[in-house]
Amino acid sequence: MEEQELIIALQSRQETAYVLLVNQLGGKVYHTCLGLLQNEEDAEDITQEVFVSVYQSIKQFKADSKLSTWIYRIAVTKSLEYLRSKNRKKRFAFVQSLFSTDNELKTDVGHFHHPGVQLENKERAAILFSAIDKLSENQKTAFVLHKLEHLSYIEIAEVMNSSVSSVESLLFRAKQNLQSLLGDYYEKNEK
Amino acid sequence: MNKKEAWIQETMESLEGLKIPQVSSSLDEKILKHLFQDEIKVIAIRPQLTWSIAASLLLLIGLNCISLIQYNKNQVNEKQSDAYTLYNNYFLYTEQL
Repeated sequence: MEEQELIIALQSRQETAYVLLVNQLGGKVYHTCLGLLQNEEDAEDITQEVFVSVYQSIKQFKADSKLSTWIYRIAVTKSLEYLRSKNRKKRFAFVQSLFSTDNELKTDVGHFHHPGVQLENKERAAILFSAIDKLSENQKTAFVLHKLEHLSYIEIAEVMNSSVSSVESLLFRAKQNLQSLLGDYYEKNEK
Repeated sequence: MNKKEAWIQETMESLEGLKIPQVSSSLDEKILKHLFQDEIKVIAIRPQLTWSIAASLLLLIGLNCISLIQYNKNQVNEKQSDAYTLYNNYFLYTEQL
């Protein structure tokens, strides 16, 4: 089925078209969400939300970009929104912990083990993911789409609604920041 | 390249050969079930319909108020006519005596 036919079938709410779409892009959407959220359960929930969002707003899709690019954009937006709300909750929990009697801060800080990483790289990849988590939203998105999804600079620019040069600059700064964060980690733990 | 730089370089390259994890079939099923069996329906209500519902409710409330006022008035009139009948009957009875 060609993309245009698929879009028409999706717009007319044909179940077979959605089965095809989920089979084609479900894994990629899940993988993008997993890279940004660094939590398998959250990534599954957001993947579901992405497809619900596609179902609800496919009629507004004007085909001015590829369907996959549009869906990646939804996945990135939903993941970042989720992260923002999670961070708000963390801040609230921190404020609450200041007033509570037990001075234990309950946040889920921990290393993320990506299920696709090779066994020998598992430990280092977890450290790298921890550093990725400290990047700004844009740097993190660009890095995840480039390194994990292997999208080209042009595709990343389309997903992020920006220019190729700004994607290049984001990736350059992301790498610099990651090297600096890893350097700090090395000084504290590996030396 | 010193030890630290080598470690950073190796860590930066730890995502090389990353495999895209297979999505469990249960996730696919969950998504499709959510889309088609849980029936997500986007209900668009036209403004005319909203206004006609509001007008109908207003009319219903108005009719209820009018009938309540009318009922109260009738109650008062009934009470007055009962007293009048009692009064008449009493004097008729005394006249007969």
